[in-house]
Amino acid sequence: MTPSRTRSPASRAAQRWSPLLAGLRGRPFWAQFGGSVAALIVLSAGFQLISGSFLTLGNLRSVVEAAAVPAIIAAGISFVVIMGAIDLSVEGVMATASMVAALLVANGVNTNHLGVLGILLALAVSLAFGLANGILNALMRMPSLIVTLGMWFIGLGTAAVLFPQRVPQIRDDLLLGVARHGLLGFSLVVYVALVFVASAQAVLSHTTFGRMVYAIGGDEALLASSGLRTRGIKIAAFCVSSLFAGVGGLLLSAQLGSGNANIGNGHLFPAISASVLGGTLLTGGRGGAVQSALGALILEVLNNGLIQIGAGPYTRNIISGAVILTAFAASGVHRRQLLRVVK
Amino acid sequence: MFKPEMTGLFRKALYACAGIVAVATISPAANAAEAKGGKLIVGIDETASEYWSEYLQGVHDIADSLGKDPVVLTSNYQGDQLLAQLGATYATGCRQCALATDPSSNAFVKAVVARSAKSKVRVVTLWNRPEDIHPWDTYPDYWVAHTSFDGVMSGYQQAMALCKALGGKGQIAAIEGVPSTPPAYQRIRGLKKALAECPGLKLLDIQVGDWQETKAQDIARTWVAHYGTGLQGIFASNDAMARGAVAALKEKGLNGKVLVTGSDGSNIALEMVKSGDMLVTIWNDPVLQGAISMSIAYAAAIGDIDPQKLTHAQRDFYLKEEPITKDNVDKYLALKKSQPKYTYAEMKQDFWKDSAGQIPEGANDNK
Amino acid sequence: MTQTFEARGVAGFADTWLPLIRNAGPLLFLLFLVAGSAIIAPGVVQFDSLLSFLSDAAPVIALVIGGTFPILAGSIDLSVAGIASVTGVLVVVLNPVLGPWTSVAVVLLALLFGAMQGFVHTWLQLPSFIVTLATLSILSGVALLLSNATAEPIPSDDVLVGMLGNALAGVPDTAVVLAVMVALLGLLLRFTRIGRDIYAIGAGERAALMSGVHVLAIRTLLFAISAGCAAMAGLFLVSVTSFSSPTLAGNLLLLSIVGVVVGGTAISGGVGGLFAAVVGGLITSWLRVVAVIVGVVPTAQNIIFGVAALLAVAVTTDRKKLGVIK
Repeated sequence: MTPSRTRSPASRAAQRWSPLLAGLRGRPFWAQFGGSVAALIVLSAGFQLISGSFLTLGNLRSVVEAAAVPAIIAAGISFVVIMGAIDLSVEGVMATASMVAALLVANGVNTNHLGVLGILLALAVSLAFGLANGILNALMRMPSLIVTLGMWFIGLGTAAVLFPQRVPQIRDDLLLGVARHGLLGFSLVVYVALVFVASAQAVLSHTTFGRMVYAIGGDEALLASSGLRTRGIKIAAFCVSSLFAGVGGLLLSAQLGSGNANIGNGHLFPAISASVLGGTLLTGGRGGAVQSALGALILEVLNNGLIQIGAGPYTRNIISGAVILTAFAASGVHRRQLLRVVK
Repeated sequence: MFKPEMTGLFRKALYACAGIVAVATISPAANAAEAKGGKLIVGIDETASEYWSEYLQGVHDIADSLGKDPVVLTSNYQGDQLLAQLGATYATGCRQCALATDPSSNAFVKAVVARSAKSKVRVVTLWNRPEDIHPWDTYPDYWVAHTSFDGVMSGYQQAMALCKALGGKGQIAAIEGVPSTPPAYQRIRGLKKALAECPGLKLLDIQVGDWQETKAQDIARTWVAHYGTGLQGIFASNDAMARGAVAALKEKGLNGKVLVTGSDGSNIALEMVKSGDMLVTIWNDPVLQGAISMSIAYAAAIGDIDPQKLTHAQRDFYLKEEPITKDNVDKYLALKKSQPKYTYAEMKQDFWKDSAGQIPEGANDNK
Repeated sequence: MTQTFEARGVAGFADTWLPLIRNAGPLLFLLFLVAGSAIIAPGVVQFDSLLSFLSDAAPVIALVIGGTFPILAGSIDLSVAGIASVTGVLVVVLNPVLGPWTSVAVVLLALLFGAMQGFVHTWLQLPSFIVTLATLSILSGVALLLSNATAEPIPSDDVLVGMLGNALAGVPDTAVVLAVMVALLGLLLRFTRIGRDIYAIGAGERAALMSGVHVLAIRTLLFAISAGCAAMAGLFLVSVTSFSSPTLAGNLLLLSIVGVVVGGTAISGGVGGLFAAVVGGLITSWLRVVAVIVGVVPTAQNIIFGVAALLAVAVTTDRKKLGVIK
C-alpha cells in the first residue's frame, strides 16, 4: 500500500503533470480565452444592433459593476469544479456571511461595532463552512454534491437563526466605503474582484496547490494510487470556494447597505454555469479562475443585454437558457468525432 | 490512503454536533398546557424576513393572551412543503385547531383548505386565493375567511404619488414581484390604472425582481445606465425591491433625485421615506394582519363565530392600508417603535374593525 | 486500493443480491427515523396519517425514481422540477385542444423532451449538468409564458388527473400508480439487457463503449425515463392541489437529489437502484417533516434538514465500494 518515497509527493505530481501544464500555460492568449472573448463580442454586437444603447460607456460600466461579485464567486467555485467536484453551498455561505458581518460591524439593530474584526470574523465563518465541506468530502468520503447541498441548507438556516427580526442596516464606513467609493469610474468592488480573480489564477497556475487541484481533476485515481495525498488539497479547495463566496456575500451586503438572509439567492447556478462556460469554451476544457470570471461576465452581458433590448420578463429565462446551450454546443462541435466520455 | 479511525472520530463529531443542534433548537414551550380550544397553527413563508417576523409578532400577541404557544410552520415558499408539514401536524390529532396561513401560492390554496377540512381545522388564508374559489363555496364550514391587502390600491397610490411629485409628466420604470402571486400582478394593475389617469407619466419598462433586493438592484443599475437622466422614477412593487433600487441609485449619487416607491411599510422603508431616498411606501400592518387572521380562525374553532352566519364581506376582505410620505412618516415610525400588544378579547369585540371591504370580483384574476 | 477498483467494476451487478444487502442501511435508517418520530408523536404512525404522508411524498418519490436513472449512468438531470411544473401548466393549456386525455399526451411529450435532452447531451458531448441547467431555465420561462403566471384550475374532465385524485380501497391512487411505475422500471433494470447496459455505463463508460453498449441510445432512454417520472410527479402534485401553477414544483429538485443519494445510489454512477430510490424518497420526505414532529423552532428548520441529510448520507452510503469520491 505504501510506496517508497524518494521525493516529496507534490514534486512528483508536478513532474507527472508538467507536460500538460506547460501546454496550458504556454498556449497563446487566443487559445485560452478566444472562445470567451468571441462570445462576449458576438453578444455585445448583437445587443448593440438591437437596442442601440448597449455599447455605451455607462452601460458597459454597469455590466462590469454587476459582474464583479459573480466573478469572485465563480473564480472561487472553479477550484472545486476543476477538481471534478461541486460546491452547492455558496448561497448558504453568502447568507451567513452577510448576516454575521451585518450584526458584528456598526449596524442598526445592536450596539456592536467591531469594524475590521467583524468583517474578518464573517470571513472566518465562511471559511469554517469550506472546512466542513472539505472534511466531510475528503476525510469522511461523502460525495461533494450531497455534502455541499446539506451545507447550503445549514447556511440558510444559520442566517435565519441570526436574523434579528428587523433588517440590520450596516453603518460601518469601511464596509460601506467599498461600495460607495470609486476610482476611475468604477467602485472599489470591481477592484476587489480583480484582485481576487487575479490571485486565484496566480495560485492555480503558479503554486503546487494549484497544480494539484488540476491533477485531481485530471485523474484522481491515478494520483491516489501513486500514493499522493490529496485530502489536504481538497479541503483547501473547498475553503477557497467558501471564502470567495463569503467575500461575495460581504460585497453584496456593502452594495445594499444591509445584511440579508436571502442575499445569495440565484447566485449558485450562474456561478457554476460561468465556471463551466469559461472552462469549456477554452478548447481543451480545463478552465481557470480568469476563464470563470469571463464566464460570469458573459452571463452578465446576457442579463443586461436582455433588459436593454426589452425582452419580456418571462422570455428572458428562455433566451438565456437557449444562449447558454448554444454557446456550449458551438464550442464543442469540433470534439464530436473524438471518443470522449461526457457525464 | 484512508484511515478508518480518523473517519470514526469525525463521524462521532458529526453526530455530536447534530445532537447539540437538535437539543438546542427544540422549543422549550412546545408542549405547554393549552387553554380552551386546540392548537394555534400558523404557516409563514420564511423566518428571515422583517415582514414575516412582524406577522408572527401579531400571532404571538393573540397566542399569549390565550396562554398558548403557536405551532409555526415555514414553507420556504413551497406549497407542497406546507402541505407535508400540515399533514404531520394534524397527524398527532387536532381538536378545535385553528390555522392562519399563507398557502405560499394560489395553486395550493384549495389543497391546504381541503387537508385542513379533513382534520376539522378552521382556516384563515392570507394573500393567495385563486379567483374562482371563495371561503363560502369551498369547504365553507372550515375555510372561515381570506384576508389580504388591496394590491391594486397599493400600486395605484404609489403611481399617483409619482405622478403628483413629477408634476404629471415624466418617465418611470417598474419592478414586479414574483409574477404568479396576486399582490405582484395586482400592484402592476394598479400602476396601469394610475397611468390611464395620468397620461403624462410614461412607463418605460417592467422587469421582474421576484420581491428580491439584489435582483432589483441589478435591474435598477441597468436602467440607470440605459435611460440615464431620462428615468425619473422607479416603481418597486415592495419595500425590499425599493431598497435594492435605492442602493443602485446611491452608487451613482442619484438617490433622492430619481424617485422610488415601495409597498409594505417596513422599518427601513420608513427610514428611507424620512431621509428622502424614497418617495412613498404603502402601510400594510403585518402585526395587525397576524393578530386578525389568527383571531378569526381561533374564534371559529371554539365557536365564538359561526362561519355559515358570516357575510361575504366578512369572509373575503382587504385590510386597511395607507400611503406613507414625508408628511406622516413620523407617526408610523413611532408606531413601529411601540407596537400595540393585541389580545384576543380586544379582537373579539369587532374582528372586522380594520377591514377595508370585500375583495371585488376579478381582483385575483391575472388577465 | 486494487480491491476498491475491482468492486467498482463490471462485476458489481452480476450478483443481484448484493444490491439488496447494500441497501439495508438506508432502510434501517428509515425505520429508525419513523420509530423515533412515533415515540415523540405516536399519531404520525396511524394508518390514516401514513396514507396522507404517502400521498404527500409521492411527487418526491417519483422525482427520486426518475432522477436515479441518469445518475446510475453517471449523469444528472436538473430539469426535473421544471418539467413537473410545466406538466401541470400544459394539462390546463392543452385541454381545450386535446380533451380528457391531455395529461397522457403531456406525459408522452415529457418523455420526448427528456429523450431530446439525453440525445443532445450525449451526441453534442455536453455535460448533462449544464444541458439540464439550461433547459431548467428555459422550462421555467415556458411555464410562466404559457400560464401567464397564473394558477388555473385543472379541468375536471381530465381522465388521468381525475383518477389520481381517487383512492383504491383507502389507498390513494397516487400510491398505486407509483407502485406500478416502480414495478415496471424495476423489471427493466433487473431483467433486461438495457438494465445491464445502464449499470455498465455507470461503472465505466469507456469499457461499456468498447464492449458494444449503444451509449447514445441508452442515455437518450435514461433522460426520457427521468422526464417521464418528473411529468408523473407533476400530475401527482396537481391531483392534490387541483390547480396548476408555473412554480408548482419549486425546489423539489434539491429534495430529489437528497433522496437519490440518501437511498444509497452513488452520484458517480453504477451503484444503486429502484429500491434505493424508493427508500431514499421516503427518508427525504420524512426528513422534511421531522422538524415539525419534533417541534423545532421554525428558524432552525433548515439547519435540522441539512444536518439530518448529512447524517443520513454518512450513515447510509457504503463508500467502500467507491474508488474516487468527488
